[in-house]
Amino acid sequence: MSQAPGKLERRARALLRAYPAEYRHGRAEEIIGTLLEAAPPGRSFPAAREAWSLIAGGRHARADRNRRPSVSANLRLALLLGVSVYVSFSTAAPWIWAISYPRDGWRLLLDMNPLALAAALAPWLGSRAATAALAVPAGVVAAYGDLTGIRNTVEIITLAEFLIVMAALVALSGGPVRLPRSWLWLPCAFPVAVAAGRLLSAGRVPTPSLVAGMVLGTLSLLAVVVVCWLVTDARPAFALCIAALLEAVGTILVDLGFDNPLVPGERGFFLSQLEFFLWVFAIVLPVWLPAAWLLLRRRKTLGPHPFPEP
Amino acid sequence: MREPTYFVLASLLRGPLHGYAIIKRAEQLSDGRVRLATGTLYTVLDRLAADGHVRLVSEETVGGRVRRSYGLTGGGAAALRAEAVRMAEAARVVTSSEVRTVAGLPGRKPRTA
Repeated sequence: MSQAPGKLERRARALLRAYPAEYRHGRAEEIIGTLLEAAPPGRSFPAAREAWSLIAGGRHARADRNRRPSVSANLRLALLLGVSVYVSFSTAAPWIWAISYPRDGWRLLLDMNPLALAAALAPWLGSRAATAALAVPAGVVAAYGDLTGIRNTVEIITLAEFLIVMAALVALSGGPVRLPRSWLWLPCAFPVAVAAGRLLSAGRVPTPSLVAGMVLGTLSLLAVVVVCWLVTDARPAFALCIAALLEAVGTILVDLGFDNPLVPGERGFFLSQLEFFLWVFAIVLPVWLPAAWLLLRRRKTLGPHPFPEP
Repeated sequence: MREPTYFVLASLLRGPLHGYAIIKRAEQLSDGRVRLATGTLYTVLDRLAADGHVRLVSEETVGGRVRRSYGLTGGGAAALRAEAVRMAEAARVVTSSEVRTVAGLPGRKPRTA
């Protein structure tokens, strides 16, 4: 009959949560056994150096696990997450408009395109067919919504960009290495922020600035989290940079369809767009470059997992 | 090769050992200088196993917990010997030469009470 775990064991088990679940499954009992043997009698807390070594060991184990797939597989996962976050963000933006001006009716519903949000989350099902089953109707809905009321180049550009992004989502889905479930909250964050903005307005029509503030706050939170995440996983940071660049390119492409405010009647690329793009690059590059370096670097000796799970 | 890695390999020279025995043996071999924390030990063992320098030899259950013993592979023994030779050569550079100190250069003043 097994004895109830003591205080030291319970606390050591809590520290072991620094390790990935599959590693704990195979090694936790062995590590706990060694730690209890090494601890002096009567100890109820792991020594500071023991605690730190478990946290650092967990970080190593997580980083090793995340580098284990091939570089191309990791690059595919990072791009897929980036596209998913971008789709989620770009569908959350019309929601801000829709919940602020609900009278605009069915056209806004088409712009919101909940199918696109579902398609952005579909890659977690692990099947390209499942993603296609949601992305294709999302594309059809967007095309119908835009083509029935198309007025200018902006809408054509937006539609083309949306269809390309949906195609990318399908093309990158599937494959032998699945998206980690721990990433799922990243594309969910924007719609949740918009919904939270709606709830915070307590029945009144929320101002666009309130909901936009929620989305910007979420964006800042995501940026901080993925930068901290670099210590074990470079892929989310790489993905968020891809999403930011897609958003910047999308904004510039759409702006191209508008009249130049300085020269009425003239359309085309003007200096403020270049400045905007450079600003985005200046913010994104300090995260993107180290993330790309970490993503492409792979320990040469990293073979299969040394201790297969029992 | 880092010092903990070196002493983990050195502790396995006389045969396979389990985790706690490796910690004790490494401490003994290093005259108490290398006191491996549990997390460090398993990180080192994982790296060494991935490099093919150590191998899981046996597994038993003691007090309801799995206890694994690790042994040195041929590659691990060769890497340890190469590191020992490198360190011995580096030590010889210092120990085999005559020491000539320079007098008169300004140094730190000894502390006075």
